[in-house]
Amino acid sequence: MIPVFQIPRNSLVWLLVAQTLLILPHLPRLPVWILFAWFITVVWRVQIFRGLWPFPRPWVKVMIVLLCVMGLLSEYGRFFGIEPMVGLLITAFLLKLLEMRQKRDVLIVAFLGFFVAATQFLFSQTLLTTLYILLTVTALTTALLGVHQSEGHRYPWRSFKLAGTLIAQSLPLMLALFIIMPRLGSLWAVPQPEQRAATGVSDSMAPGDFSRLVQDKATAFRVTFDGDIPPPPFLYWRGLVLSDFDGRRWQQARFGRFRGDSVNWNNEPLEQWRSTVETTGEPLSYQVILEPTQQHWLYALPLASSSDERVGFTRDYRLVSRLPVNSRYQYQVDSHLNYRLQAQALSGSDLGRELYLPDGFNPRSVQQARQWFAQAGSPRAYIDRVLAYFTRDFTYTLEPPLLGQHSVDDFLWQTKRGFCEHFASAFVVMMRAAGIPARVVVGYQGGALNPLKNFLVVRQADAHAWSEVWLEGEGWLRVDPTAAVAPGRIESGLDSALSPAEAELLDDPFSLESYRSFALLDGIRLRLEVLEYDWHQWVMNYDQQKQSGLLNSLLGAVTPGRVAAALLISGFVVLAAVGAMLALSGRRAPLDPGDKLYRRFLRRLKSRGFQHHPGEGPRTLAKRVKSERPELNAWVSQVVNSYERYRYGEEGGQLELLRRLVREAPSRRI
Amino acid sequence: MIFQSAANDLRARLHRWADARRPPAASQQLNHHSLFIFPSGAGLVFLVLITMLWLVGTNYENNLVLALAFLLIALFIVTILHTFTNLAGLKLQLLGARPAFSGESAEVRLLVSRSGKRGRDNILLGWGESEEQVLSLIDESEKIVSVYVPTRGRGWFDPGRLRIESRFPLGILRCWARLDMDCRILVYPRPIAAGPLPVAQAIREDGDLSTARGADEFAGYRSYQPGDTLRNVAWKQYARGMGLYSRDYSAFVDTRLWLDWDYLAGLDREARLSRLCWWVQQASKTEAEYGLRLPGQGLDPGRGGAHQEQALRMLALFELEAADSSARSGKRKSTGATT
Repeated sequence: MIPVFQIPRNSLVWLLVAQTLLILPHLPRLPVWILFAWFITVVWRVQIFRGLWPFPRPWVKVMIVLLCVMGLLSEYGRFFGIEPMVGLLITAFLLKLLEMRQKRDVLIVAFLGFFVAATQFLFSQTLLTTLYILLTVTALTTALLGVHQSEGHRYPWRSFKLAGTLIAQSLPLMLALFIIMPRLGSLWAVPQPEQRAATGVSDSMAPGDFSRLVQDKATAFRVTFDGDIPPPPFLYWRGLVLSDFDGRRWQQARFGRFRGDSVNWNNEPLEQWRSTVETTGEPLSYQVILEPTQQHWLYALPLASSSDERVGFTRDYRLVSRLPVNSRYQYQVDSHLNYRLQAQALSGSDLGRELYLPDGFNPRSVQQARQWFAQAGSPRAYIDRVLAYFTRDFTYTLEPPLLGQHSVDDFLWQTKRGFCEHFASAFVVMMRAAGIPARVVVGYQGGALNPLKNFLVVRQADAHAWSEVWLEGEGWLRVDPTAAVAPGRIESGLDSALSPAEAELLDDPFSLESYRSFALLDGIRLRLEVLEYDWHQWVMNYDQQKQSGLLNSLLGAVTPGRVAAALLISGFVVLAAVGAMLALSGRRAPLDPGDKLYRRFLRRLKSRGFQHHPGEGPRTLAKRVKSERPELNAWVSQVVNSYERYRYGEEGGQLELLRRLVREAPSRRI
Repeated sequence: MIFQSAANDLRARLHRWADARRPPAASQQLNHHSLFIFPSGAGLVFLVLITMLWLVGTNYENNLVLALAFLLIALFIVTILHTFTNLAGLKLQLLGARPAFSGESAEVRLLVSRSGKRGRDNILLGWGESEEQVLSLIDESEKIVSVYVPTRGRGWFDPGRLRIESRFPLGILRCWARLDMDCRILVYPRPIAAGPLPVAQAIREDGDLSTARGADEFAGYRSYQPGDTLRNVAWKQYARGMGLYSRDYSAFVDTRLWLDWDYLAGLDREARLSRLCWWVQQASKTEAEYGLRLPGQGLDPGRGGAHQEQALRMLALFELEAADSSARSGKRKSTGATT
């Protein structure tokens, strides 16, 4: 018969804590009924622990498992894929709670927990997530520890502290393994996480899109330049080129059935594309770490090229990624800031696309454009004329009034209040109406320098829309109408371009970004940025290349022998340190003063030729003295008597008496 | 099945090898010579888990999953130290074994003490494969622990090796030692009910004795007490009108009980010993004195705990002592005769 095993209280408590911590961040990916199943299993388990409910019967268990499997199937429709697998794992993790009858089952639940903890990293790898998972792993370790502690020594906090010590002692060795253990690269194809809601700049632009986006304080990407950082007017991070206009919304041009440009996946642009580009000077080289966008397009300064083999080129010299960016993505870019793109001529189809305006929209603007173009005489003069009009009496605002069907007409001639997308859209419409090829470009503009580590942080708030116009002999030129209205936006960011009242609207009390004026908080913010940046560079992105670089500098050369030796030596050093800690640690329970006196008494007895036996109680000792050494009997029985009285809680000078009695030992025999 | 028997075979071999390394001693300190450490079943599952995490981390090229796998490897290695030091340095001392009746569990008392400041948690002690005793030395530095071992046969019983084991702190490693504590347990025969104490027989025996030996045993007269047998009433004196007296025979005054091997004729040796053992137990519950007669040896009547122990010891070692001492001088083996 298997003895009845009651899971210790502290183990159960920590198991439930760990389970809560593990499931919470997964909740958005899990079906809603999981919450219900979770509630039931936890309540049932607690009731089992309290002895109020029995374990579920086998048929009940079968029913529950079937229900959960059906629920998962109806939620995900399949079992291949990360989300359903995580769902299955978590369900098993929950249901196993109802089955814990033996010590072994507790171990299995904890092990399942370790696995669930790992799956969290498939979705998020930030520093915060890592610390969070470290906490849950410690909780799981505490649960394991709890079942292996002696009864009477199971206190939740003491166990947690001990488990924390174990984890802390493991960290240095983990670090050594992390640095040294070779990375093999993907062994076989694995399912990737599903696409989630895209963030950042979207693939179309309508009035109001950007003013919503810029209220987001989140980081869009970080950039490290190999050399100097170019001044803000050059920091136009191109993302998408929008050429299709339906009167209200701008979208990517349509090629056949697909929107978007054709992509060349070779590292070098096609010869045919290359011939349309002229560059002068040395390229600017930099690394971009893009936060997940769930989209294919990447951001870069024009005119970009990349030697990264996961990155492709479009004809308009944008960079795209082969897979949607669903986790942090780092790519290398070379940009020629001095360039001429398609300077020679545009093909007929290109020309048609970049001049197209839908019929019947914005009649007043079209008419005004033709009139001004005729007056101006040259495209250059015409562009200046339009920009001058913007400069005169337009307001750059986060909260533009609503626009009617003829959105550009309404904006240009009535409301005259708008955000970057209004200016870009209106400008391009004015250009096309006058017969100048033009298009909208969306992306980010600017970026904040982190002076501690010299990298640029570009936020969602830096999202921007501008335009490109094509001039014969000069190619595509960037024209930013927003710069004409609010030059401060380009030079020093959004906050300085808005009225103080509007700038306040952007402040989020929960974001450190809002407290830039406080030096201390701003210092903390900059440091956190650096931490997150280093985390990405050295932990998330620690790959074979970085590894061999680091090992080369540490070991001189990367040979299997040296790597093995480094591993062994670091392992030995860590173990020696832990061993020394173990040997020195621990607290000796302070000896009771009575016990101390009793020990002294035993020593005195020994010096009088009477050796006490190990494990002998005071009474047996006294009895033995009486029969073997009667001359000591009087003293010994007095001491023993007094000691026992002291032990059994008699108050009032017993300790003093004992001390005196021990001191008054009869003299030694000669 | 095949795997299991192979594992058992391996374990037996390991034990033989380990046992040869440690001479028997009543006091032993655990150190790297006596301690063995190996992943437990759960530990092997833990290693499989780490491998799976490593595969996930490698395939997803996810450094943090890999880091978790490495953390668990490190935890495993650090736990080796913790499990080992939970036992290392412990001192075990045999305090003594209480004799037991065959088939019962014998209590062996051990003093377990630690040196150093570190507490020891969740230590299991057991003889052979028998049930373990849980022990911890956290706030105290020494403890007396009674470990029970089921006995077989009578005579000197060797409980085998003391198993001391710990899976603290995480249960993924098992550290153990098998110590020969040089322990002998005196096992009494298994008591078997043998009917009422042989009092009547003792009286008749005495009667026979008195007739055979005549007046030698005659001690004198004493006044009649109700209950004195009428055979001993001094009728002659009564007839002279001197009152009622009993003749007092010294042998007869002897109300002591003899538990005699010969009463149990017809049974084999072990059956007789078992019944004598039962009688000794019964007799000890009364105030009566009793003696023991076995072929070639005997125990004069007496009473009290020491007397009972002596009697039981005689029964336990009957016709075994000689064989036993010769066996002990060589390598000690289990010496109990089976009932």
